[in-house]
Amino acid sequence: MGNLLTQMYCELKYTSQWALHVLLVFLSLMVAFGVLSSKNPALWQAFLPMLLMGLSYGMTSLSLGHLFRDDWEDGTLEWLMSEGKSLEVYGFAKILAHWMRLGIPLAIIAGVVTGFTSFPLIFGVAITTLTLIFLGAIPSALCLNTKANNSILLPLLILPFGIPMMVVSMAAATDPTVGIYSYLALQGGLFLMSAALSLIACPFALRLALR
Amino acid sequence: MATLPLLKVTNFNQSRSGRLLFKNLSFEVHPGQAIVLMGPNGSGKTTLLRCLAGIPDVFPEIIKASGLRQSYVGHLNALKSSLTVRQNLCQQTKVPPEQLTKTLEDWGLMPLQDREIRTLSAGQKRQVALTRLSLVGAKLWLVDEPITHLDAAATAHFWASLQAHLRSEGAVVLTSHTPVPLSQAKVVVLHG
Amino acid sequence: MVSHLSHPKPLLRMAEILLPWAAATSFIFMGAGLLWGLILSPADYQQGESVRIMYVHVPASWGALCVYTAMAILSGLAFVTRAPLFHLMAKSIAPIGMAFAFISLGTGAIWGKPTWGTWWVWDARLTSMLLLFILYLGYWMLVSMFEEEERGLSAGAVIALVGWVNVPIIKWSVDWWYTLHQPASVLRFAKPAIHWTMLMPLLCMAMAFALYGLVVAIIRFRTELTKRKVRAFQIRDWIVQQEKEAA
Repeated sequence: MGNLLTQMYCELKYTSQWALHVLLVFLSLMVAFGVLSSKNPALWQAFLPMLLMGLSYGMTSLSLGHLFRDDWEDGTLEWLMSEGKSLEVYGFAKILAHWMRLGIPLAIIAGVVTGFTSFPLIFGVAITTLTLIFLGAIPSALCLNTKANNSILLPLLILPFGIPMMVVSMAAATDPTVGIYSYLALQGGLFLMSAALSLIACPFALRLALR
Repeated sequence: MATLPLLKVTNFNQSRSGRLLFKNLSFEVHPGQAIVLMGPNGSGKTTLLRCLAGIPDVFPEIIKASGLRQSYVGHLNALKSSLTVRQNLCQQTKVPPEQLTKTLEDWGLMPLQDREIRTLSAGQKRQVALTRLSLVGAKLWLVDEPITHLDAAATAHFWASLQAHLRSEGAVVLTSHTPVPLSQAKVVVLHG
Repeated sequence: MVSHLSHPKPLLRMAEILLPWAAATSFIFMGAGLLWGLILSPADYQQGESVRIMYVHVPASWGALCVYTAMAILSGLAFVTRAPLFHLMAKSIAPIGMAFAFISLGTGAIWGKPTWGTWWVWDARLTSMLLLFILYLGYWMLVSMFEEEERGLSAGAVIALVGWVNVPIIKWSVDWWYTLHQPASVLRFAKPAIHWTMLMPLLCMAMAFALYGLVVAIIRFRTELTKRKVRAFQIRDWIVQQEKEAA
């Protein structure tokens, strides 16, 4: 546990410019859509949850390409394996740190834009991005040592996992007939499943990349 | 030698991309011994060193002494470019600051200790990576092309610290293109 | 020394014997099914003649789901037994499943236009079938993006295993959510809700698709094994040559 926290702390200390970059793109897209629908406020209100959820999915998917790449390129991943350090802890720390830099700001922006009226939406954005990062870390690790550097393969692989999750989360967050407990149960179940899958598959995929 | 070997390789085979790299390779590394892997480019020196280090899989033909602490410095330096020298070494090795200062002084890297890695030259980065070997206090050193980019003074210092490590019952496996100035080093030649 | 598969020979011999029979029976079933389905079976009371697309659309959908399940099982077996044979089998059947999924989507769109008035709708079943097609595409792209074949096959196996979650979603999406696509009529726990005059040609076509898939799978698997054999011979010759030079 202490190992995990120290790794996460070290992660967060770096200036990671790509998370900020992705957040700025998200903000600019929200502003653009807001301006474009300024003639029609009802349209903006109706589309807002969809816009927030969809854009968070898109931005997270784009940012996942860099999750393990820096460490792989400068040899840190190799060194970690030679020291015999646990790759599960490493993966977990990386994913959590990435979420803290990306998912939490996205949720806060979602809250600000909706005026903090819809708690399920904010919570939904936060947890969905976390689940998505857990699941998307697997293709991200698989694509490390391939010819598919920065190609369309990574978003293509994330798509079948991210979309069902996003749909479920969105429906539960905006549908007034779904109770809070059943929503939490569903979202929690998806999160636990993705976390478990990720913690098994990511170390395997990282080892595969270094063969 | 009656001492137990630190590292023992028995009948090790490895093929990469359909090419056989080595077949039935066997050797031992005893405390105080240095092994140099030599061979032309692409003959599998780096691959063999990585297999010895256990990256990414552990092979049953490579047996290490129980509780053996190893230190691996690969072709890439494994240094974060946005952190300083001190921050990198502290984070990776978790040694007390006084010991870190002493090692940096030994290597002549004190003037660089608070500079970010990306501002250093290639030779300086390599020196920082090599200091990791002595910091961790590992018995087995595994180094890939240690003297690339190093100037004459840094190279001499590296061979001196290597000799000191061998005298204190440590062992080294390193790869090199050029002949190594160690008198009693055992050379393993890999053919392409 | 050289990476070898675990006993492909008996498997290959069995496949060689099976191949002509499977091809022949597939041809017979396909002919019979098409004749029965397209000409002899009754037209639907509501949909008229356009219901006949069902005889191609439904077997293709079943095929896509079954092939992905087979890929997931084979990948699981490969990890458990550590035999590359199963990885190769999974790679052999992947394009078949991709083709089935594509046929399902295409014929579904063609069927949807007269029946629902639209080529496509973003409901649960259609979207998850599209996602299955994307999974197949992603598997194929991933496996071909590695320089070394073994690593690529292992990576693809991870996608096959993790992506299998999509298959139950497709199967039961029409029962869980009220959607435009009709609910399950054949593969369900109650009695099939389809009349036997339409069920029989449907099953006939399903057999034909399955056998055709088997034929293509055997041919592709044989090709993969031959490629590996060629590479093994090349390595052996290279080693012999090296030893001659050293001597």
